[in-house]
Amino acid sequence: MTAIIKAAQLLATWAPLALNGVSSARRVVMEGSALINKATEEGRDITDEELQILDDLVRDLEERLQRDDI
Amino acid sequence: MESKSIFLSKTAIANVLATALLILTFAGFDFELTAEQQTSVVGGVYTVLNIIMRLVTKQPAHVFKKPDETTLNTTPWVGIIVLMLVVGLLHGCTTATVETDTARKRFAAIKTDYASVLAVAVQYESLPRCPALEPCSDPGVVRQLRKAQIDARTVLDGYEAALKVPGADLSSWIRRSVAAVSAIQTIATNRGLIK
Repeated sequence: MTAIIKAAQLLATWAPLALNGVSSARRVVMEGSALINKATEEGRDITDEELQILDDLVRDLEERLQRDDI
Repeated sequence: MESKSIFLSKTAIANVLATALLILTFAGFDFELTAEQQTSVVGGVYTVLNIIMRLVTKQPAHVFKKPDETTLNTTPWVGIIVLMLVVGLLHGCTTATVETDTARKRFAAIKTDYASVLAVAVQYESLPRCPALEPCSDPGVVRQLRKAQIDARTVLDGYEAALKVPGADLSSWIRRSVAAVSAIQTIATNRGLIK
């Protein structure tokens, strides 16, 4: 019984975090995919500007991951 | 003229081998060439092979029965050779264009995957470090994620630089980039951050 309660507590604490992380990742994927799909629909290759948009997105995340310890 | 079984035909055997080569290329088999070079070489070999085989062919071939010999006059064969040559060349040109197109889109797709797993890693990193109360982030895992991210950035920068070099071998960069992003995904998966 204690194990079940402990598991439920862990699930309750980690589930919102996991959902938040997944939701953030989904947004990023949607943005990246939208760039690729737009280029495909317009029958052209990805432009340097579009790659730059993607890179800006990535660099923001990289900086946040590498920031000083809290 | 007496015909022979198609299974004994050198032309048919050569074409089966060339088609196998094409299927291997399509399946992503790496010949250590760029995608453009690979397509051109395979398309060129296919075309030349067919012309040579046509020159050395002496007999008609059959699958089940001997074909009507009146259909074997020379003129249609010349047309077929020219048609094969044109189709072979067109195949090489159009596929090369698509492959070049794919290289940049592939890069964008890999970078999107990278951004996706980074978003999860950032979420994890933002937690107080353990042994704080749950939820907390393991300092060792955060260090692993940070190191893997730096490695991935280095490889992706190399891939992006290679994209701007005409004729660069992108296949190895694609492989290395996918592996670098997978390394972060593995850390996140092992920690249960993603499935």
